[in-house]
Amino acid sequence: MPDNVPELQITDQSLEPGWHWQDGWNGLIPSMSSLADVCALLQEEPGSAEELANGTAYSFLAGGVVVVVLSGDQFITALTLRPHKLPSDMVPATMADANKAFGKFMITDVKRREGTIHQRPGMKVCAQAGPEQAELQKILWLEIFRP
Amino acid sequence: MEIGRQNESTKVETPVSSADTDRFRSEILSDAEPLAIHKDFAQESAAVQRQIADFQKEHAVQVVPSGKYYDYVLSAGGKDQVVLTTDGKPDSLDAAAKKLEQLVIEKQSALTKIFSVTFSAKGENVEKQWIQKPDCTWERGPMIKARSPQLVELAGIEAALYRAQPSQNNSDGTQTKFYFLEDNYHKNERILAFYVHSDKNGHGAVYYEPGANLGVPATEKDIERSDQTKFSNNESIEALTLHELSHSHQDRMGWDSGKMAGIAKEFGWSSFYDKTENETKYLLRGKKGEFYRYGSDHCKDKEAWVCCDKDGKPLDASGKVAGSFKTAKQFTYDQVRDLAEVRPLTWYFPNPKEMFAEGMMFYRSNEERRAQLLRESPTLYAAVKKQDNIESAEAFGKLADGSPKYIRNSEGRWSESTSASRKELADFENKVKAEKQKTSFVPPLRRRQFAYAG
Repeated sequence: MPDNVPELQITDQSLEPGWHWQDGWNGLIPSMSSLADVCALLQEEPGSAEELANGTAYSFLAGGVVVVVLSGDQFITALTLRPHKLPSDMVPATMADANKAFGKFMITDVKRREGTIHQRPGMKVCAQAGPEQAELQKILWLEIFRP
Repeated sequence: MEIGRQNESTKVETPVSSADTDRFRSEILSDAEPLAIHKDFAQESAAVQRQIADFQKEHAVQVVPSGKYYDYVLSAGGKDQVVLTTDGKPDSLDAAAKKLEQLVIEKQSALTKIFSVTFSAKGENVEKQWIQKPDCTWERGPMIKARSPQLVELAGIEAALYRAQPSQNNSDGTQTKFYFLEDNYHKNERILAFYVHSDKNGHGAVYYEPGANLGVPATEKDIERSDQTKFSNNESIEALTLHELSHSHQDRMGWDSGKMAGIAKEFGWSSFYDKTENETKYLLRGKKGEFYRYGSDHCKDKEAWVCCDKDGKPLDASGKVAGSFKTAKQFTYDQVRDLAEVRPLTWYFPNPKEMFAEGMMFYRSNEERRAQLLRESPTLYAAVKKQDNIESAEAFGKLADGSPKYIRNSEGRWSESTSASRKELADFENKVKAEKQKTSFVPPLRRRQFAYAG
């Protein structure tokens, strides 16, 4: 890293007010909830299980919810939600909704075809980049994890 | 969906040269010469010569003195075409510019009618520029304006659309819009082009960066006629557009809705959960079961290829976790291409989407490029063919046996799936596979810097 370049501060205090990773999603908390907890909440077994090099990604609700469990872990590492595959009240659909629900985000990556990455401690959101207004920036996926 | 009628003037009549002298794209961007002015202008004053040169650069047509007149010549589709004639005086250039603008509008209308695609207008707002801060986060800067396309760009895009269709259709039912940016999308970054999932209106679009098409041959057929020391095959406006529309294909086919991992696995990539970045990412599999990834420790560092473990941690020369990309054993593009389980076809393969887009560009370009893909990377060829056929079936319909109604022939164009056309394609593929057994010269590919951002 070049000298005198500050480290990326996703833990910036200005982002702290709002949602914290321990708040989880509907009672599911990364590094504390198990795959069984996910099945119980969603009332279904995984629709598919994709092998990762270092774990497994379990898909629920036709890909609307994806849970990653790393090899050897008993708890879920990350939970990814896709709003367009879920009922509208389950997860925010736009960045404006996400800002209201969770608090402030920082934009950490704009070099992706699918969208712009917004982050706050314990959460990453990929949203449409083109439209300027947050109300028009549809969320493509939202991931929660233990920072 | 109706397939756009093929323009016979762009039909490949002779094989494209197999010479492939890839070169540093940044050199092309900096050394790109607009069209040379005609030798008959040598007697004119410096001011007139400057005026002619500026006109040619702005409109990408050559002004050719022809008796008392000026002919305005467009080089595209493998031939030179006089698109306009005026009086042979420098003060005719203004009128010529207006007429060329009208020709651009007419050509755009024709392409919109066939493919429903649209184009940016001069002065149109694109998006606000992205500016990276020292802490690697991003903020919006000033508005980027667009320009309207040149005739030569429309010729390249047209050639690509006939081959890329139906990929110009976005997943939300709209069609791709092509923007020609007057400033870089990411400040201070020189890239050729982007496919974006959503433009200002929330629809899929291709952004061409400033200078990306300057002096570049319009179509693959024009490469052969161009300066071979500057441009190799797959460096035309057509090829660039084919690459970007391959990303539109990925968007349409649900790569970002959970399908990417399964598809990428078929051509040599494994997904993994990156605990440092808190995201599912991709590793390129090596022939011996090892993994490679492309990245850096910090946004200001140059990215590099390293060998890594299944958690994506870079490894040093002894195979131990190195702790950083900088201290890991780094590999060149050539080395990674040789070590990969599935050989990337070009230098541009930082992730599965780009490797696939390069492959699909070759698959759809012409017979020569398609044969090269099959010969050099048959597994990638198979993956691209499979996805292309899936898209065809969805867009154009299926036969009773579930196979697509239309198949892509060896020249990259759609043809009805009949026993004859299927046999023709099979014969082509078998011939290429048989040739693979023979020794073939593979020209070294030099690193392509500042290649397509995708």
